Amino acid sequence: MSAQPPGEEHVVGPDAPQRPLIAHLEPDQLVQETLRPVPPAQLSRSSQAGLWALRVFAIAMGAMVIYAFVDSL
Amino acid sequence: MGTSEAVVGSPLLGTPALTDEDAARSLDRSRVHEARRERRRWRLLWLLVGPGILAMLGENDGPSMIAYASDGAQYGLGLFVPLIPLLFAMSFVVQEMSMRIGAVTHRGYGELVLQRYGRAWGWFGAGDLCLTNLVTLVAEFVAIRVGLSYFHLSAGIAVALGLTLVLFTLSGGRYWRWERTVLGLALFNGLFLLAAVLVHPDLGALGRSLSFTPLPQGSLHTLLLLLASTIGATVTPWMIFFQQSASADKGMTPGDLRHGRYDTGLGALLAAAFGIGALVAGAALIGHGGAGIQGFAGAGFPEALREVAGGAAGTVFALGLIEAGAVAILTISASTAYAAGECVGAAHSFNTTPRSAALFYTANLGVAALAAVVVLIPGAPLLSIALNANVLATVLLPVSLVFVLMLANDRELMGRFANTARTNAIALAVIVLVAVCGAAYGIDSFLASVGVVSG
Repeated sequence: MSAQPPGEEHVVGPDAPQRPLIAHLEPDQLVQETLRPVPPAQLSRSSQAGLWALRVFAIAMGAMVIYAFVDSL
Repeated sequence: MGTSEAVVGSPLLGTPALTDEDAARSLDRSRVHEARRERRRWRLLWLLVGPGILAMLGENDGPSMIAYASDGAQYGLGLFVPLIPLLFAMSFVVQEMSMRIGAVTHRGYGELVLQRYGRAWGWFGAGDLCLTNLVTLVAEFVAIRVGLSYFHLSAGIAVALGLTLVLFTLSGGRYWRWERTVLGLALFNGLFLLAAVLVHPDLGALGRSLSFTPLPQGSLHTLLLLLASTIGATVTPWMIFFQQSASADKGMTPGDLRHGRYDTGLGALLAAAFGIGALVAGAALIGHGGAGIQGFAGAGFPEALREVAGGAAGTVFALGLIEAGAVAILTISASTAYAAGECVGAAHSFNTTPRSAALFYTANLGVAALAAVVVLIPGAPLLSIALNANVLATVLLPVSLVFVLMLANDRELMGRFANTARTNAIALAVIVLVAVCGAAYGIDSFLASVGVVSG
């Protein structure tokens, strides 16, 4: 993924013939490449448990703040 | 993720297909390569700064600057002068990870969480973001309204100004144009520093406050609220979404990481300096009824500053509020649009046209318009909304921070650019601090509202 030297010439857009363009993008930077989803992560049981605890934390804390906010109206 | 309209390439010749989005990004990258080849250091820095400064100065938004000024007016400079840079240093750690993930993977935070850790987590993050963004955007329109009311202009004009700016910045179809326009506006955040100079602060008191003293007086609840809202004014979920997506949209690569760090560091320095400016300006009101000013209930601070420090200080502070609200509307709307596109799998780039990325542009304008509608509702509890926005963001922040840390440690994605042990130790400390402050405040507020403890 290091910086690439100037690539090949590509012609794009309505005024394409008049506008030669050198592609300076890395191969994995192209829209076509980023369309490809990354594979799911393999999480250990402890990581999964940690993430569930995080979800419970966020829901509980969010509910408390929202309750306090509504109560203060 | 969708594609832009024109797709040109030659499979027979082995050349990849280029979209309009690629072409625009390629043009920007050609300038970077040229500057690097010609060893034009300042030109290279100029080309590569943007997402970091915008994330940091975007977070110096209306509610944050009002919060800093309120802290100064109510409690003075002690604790806050050293705390603000410390919190921005904390923010730098988080934002550097976001920038690095965006530059290495060329993908946004929302899509990576969704694809790596499942749809539930992706949508949880996006839902969290949309809720806090909407609430924060309401507060930004209120900040503009407060600033404009100093000049006897109405709420309708505040709404029109905010939405016109969003429309104007979206009209270019280029990331570069959007970034430079917002960057130009964001530098006016320095008005708060000018306001601090205009109130002629006591430099001795400013120096003494670096020792974290005197600590603010008040109940534990008050201290927790202050801490939670100050943290919420420096690190938020939208900043993470924004900087990672913007770094990818800008076309940053691993070769640009050093400049990405300069960009983020410069943003943190400027944001801390301007935040302290708002604090110092607010502190001029201590002993002049400043503690009684409820920032959003009218044109509190600018008017009070005019009484105490003269018309110039009031005018500069009011203009600062308008700028802070306007820039935050642009960056926060952008983060919402990036998140919407990434989670749905639609095109999400400023290097597209509204036709080729309808969801991105609709979400960008739509979330700002929705917040504007709330501001115009007569009798809406805008004060409560504004004051609770930062706290809600802080309470929900640990979720975003944990996923940033996981992504930055994901060697399948990051390779040799994954976190070092030292970065992990600092990031973990940040997450624990944010979680403990948010949880303490959340629990304390809840217990106070059900009458178990006194608020």
